[in-house]
Amino acid sequence: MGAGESPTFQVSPLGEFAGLGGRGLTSAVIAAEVPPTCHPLSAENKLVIAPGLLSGTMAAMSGRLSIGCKSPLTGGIKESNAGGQPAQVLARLGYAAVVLEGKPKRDDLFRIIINKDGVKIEVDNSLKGLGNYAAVERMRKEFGDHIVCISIGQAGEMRLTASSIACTDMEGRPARHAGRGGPGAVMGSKCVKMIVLDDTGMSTRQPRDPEKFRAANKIFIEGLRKHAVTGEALPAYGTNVLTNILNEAGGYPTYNFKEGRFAGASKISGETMASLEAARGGMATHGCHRGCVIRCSGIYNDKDGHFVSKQPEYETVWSHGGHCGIDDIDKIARMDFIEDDIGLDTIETGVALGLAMEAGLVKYGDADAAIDLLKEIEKGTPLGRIIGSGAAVTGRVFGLDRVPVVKGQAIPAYDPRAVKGLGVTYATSTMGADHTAGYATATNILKVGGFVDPLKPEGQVELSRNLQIATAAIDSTGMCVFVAFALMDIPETFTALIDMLNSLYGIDLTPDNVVELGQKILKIERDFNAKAGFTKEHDRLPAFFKAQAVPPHNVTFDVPDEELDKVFNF
Amino acid sequence: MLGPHAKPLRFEINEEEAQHFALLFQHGVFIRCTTGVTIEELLVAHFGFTRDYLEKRLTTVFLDGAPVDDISEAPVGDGMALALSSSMPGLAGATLRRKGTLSSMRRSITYHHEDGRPAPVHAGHITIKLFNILAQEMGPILMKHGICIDALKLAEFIRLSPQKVQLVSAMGKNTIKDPEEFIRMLEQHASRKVEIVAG
Repeated sequence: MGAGESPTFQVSPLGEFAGLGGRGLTSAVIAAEVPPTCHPLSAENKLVIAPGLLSGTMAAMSGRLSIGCKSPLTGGIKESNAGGQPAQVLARLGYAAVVLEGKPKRDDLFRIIINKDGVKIEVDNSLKGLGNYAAVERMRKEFGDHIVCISIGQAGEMRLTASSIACTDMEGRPARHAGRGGPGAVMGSKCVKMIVLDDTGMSTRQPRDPEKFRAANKIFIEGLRKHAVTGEALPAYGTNVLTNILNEAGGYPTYNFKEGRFAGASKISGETMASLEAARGGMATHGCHRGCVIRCSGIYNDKDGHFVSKQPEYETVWSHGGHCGIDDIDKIARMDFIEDDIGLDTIETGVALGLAMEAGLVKYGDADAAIDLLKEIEKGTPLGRIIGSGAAVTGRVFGLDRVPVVKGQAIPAYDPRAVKGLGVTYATSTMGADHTAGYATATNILKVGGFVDPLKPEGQVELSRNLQIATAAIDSTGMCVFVAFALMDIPETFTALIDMLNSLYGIDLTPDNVVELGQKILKIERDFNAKAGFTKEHDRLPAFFKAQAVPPHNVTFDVPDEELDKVFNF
Repeated sequence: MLGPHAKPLRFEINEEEAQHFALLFQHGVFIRCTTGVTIEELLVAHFGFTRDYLEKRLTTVFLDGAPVDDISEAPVGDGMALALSSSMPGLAGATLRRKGTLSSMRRSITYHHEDGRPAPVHAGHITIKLFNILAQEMGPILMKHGICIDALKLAEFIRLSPQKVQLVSAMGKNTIKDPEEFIRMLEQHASRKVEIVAG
């Protein structure tokens, strides 16, 4: 979209980006077409919305959407990932990606409608100032309940750096978010409020070898179902099953990373939440997209049985719970809904709220005061804009020296002093502090290219490297990263994933190719970040993690900087 | 913990009602047992779980907050806290798994067995916590041995539980109709412990 012009669209072949999907595609496009030193809210930045290589097929778990840009939060390359329905629908519509580029010099807000007949870009200023829920409801009334939506709330319109992009789930709620790194601000800078996708009349993508694809998918699903994590723990309790575990381990960051245990943890645990959901007519087992067989999500109701929010994830419960000293799961769920509606990253915003408490603006544990701060964001007050800009800005404005961010992005719910290998990933990931960057592994991936004894000290750097490579590859497929547990423990599940890719496209990938893909993606991202001005000094945790021991184990982060600099030695 | 002169309030519940108390275990309950033996010996010989069950289901173990890799070597001393869980998601979950490939990532908090056992083997008490699926599976079995909890903690648990009616009914053998009355009674005995036995 050029200055003063009406926005236009064009459909282009993949060209040099052929064979890429998801994060592989978003990072390749951003690296090739966005000047690394551009301002993230300028016309030069692009927003790339891409389903994965397997999205739109009958492959289980293939509904993840990658959204890439230069991040307004970190200043580096960003791939933000969300569940919900858009990836499947966009892929069935036949698109590998939607790329928003340029910037209109006008005050209008646009909506984009994509269906089997093509693409329409329309002014719709009636959407201005609406939360995601109201905006999506308007679209459903106009186009039908079957549509899916990609939208921003007020935070994205205000171009706040903690703003997210919402994706609708199977019930049509804008409850799944591409949260990390502020992609909502980039979408807002391009004056796009809403993308409506309608795949009526389109078919599921068909594999080149349907028999082989079906057989591989069956093995893949079996692996997921029989694994204790994906087949039992996650469906029953959701990701918040981790609260009790991290708390017991002394790695549950409490009161802004001062302590590793929270006295109120069991009140906000996944077990407690599942029990309340069952009793209140909610749902403890729920998929965020069609084809999900893990179903780690849920529906959280209040004591009268009314919908409050989708089941809050572990990181959301932590950032508003132990981090802020709040042990009221009802209030935490309420905050989750508010942030989904305004369109905010719940990790970034929760950490910012905790910093506001650290600064004495409100008291630790005061959930009502935290909710009031969220309302400030919604209204766009100066205080709200500070909090809505995330942890680094909040810490700077209030003069704090204990600010848990890496590359400007808030550190999530695992203390890196207790689990140092995670600290290596937080520090070195191209995405900033990211708990999902080093998520996936498979025993054969770890052994490809040589095997390092994980019990040796240098093994942690090796592990982090291999995990980041594997995750980058998985993020390109459209697969939910939770498939990683089955991939790690059941080798035939990993083989089945590769078989699905091969039978869909008629190619002959091997595990080595998967490693190469992951390495290629990481190299692209590292290269972009270097050109954007990042150096090895940015691959570090905040100094207080080295200086201040965390109880109860009283440990610090002591992985030497020289070791961190070896993570990307490939 | 359980002083020699403390006399707990005692409640007996029917076996089939033990499932209502599964969530109680996440807070930690006291249990009398043989201490000084290894975790494996405790769970197999004292509580009756099979080695096969432990191998398949008991994937994450903490002893006084330290992740344990070898349950056949870690002795449980009097007064220690033993927390048990099934496989956990995420990189952190995989890292905390016993004998997991990623265990080096949490090396500095891992349980390390010092030379010798902490104390002679004798009757004692530990705090036991059961999380997620294991609370449902192991909880009812442990309740047959009897568990103990502070009266105030039990009062708060019942107050917040969506199953307060079932809990109170089980403990009162259907004679107590008002959960709030039962909670008040517990609060009046704030300095005491409550023992619950399923059988």
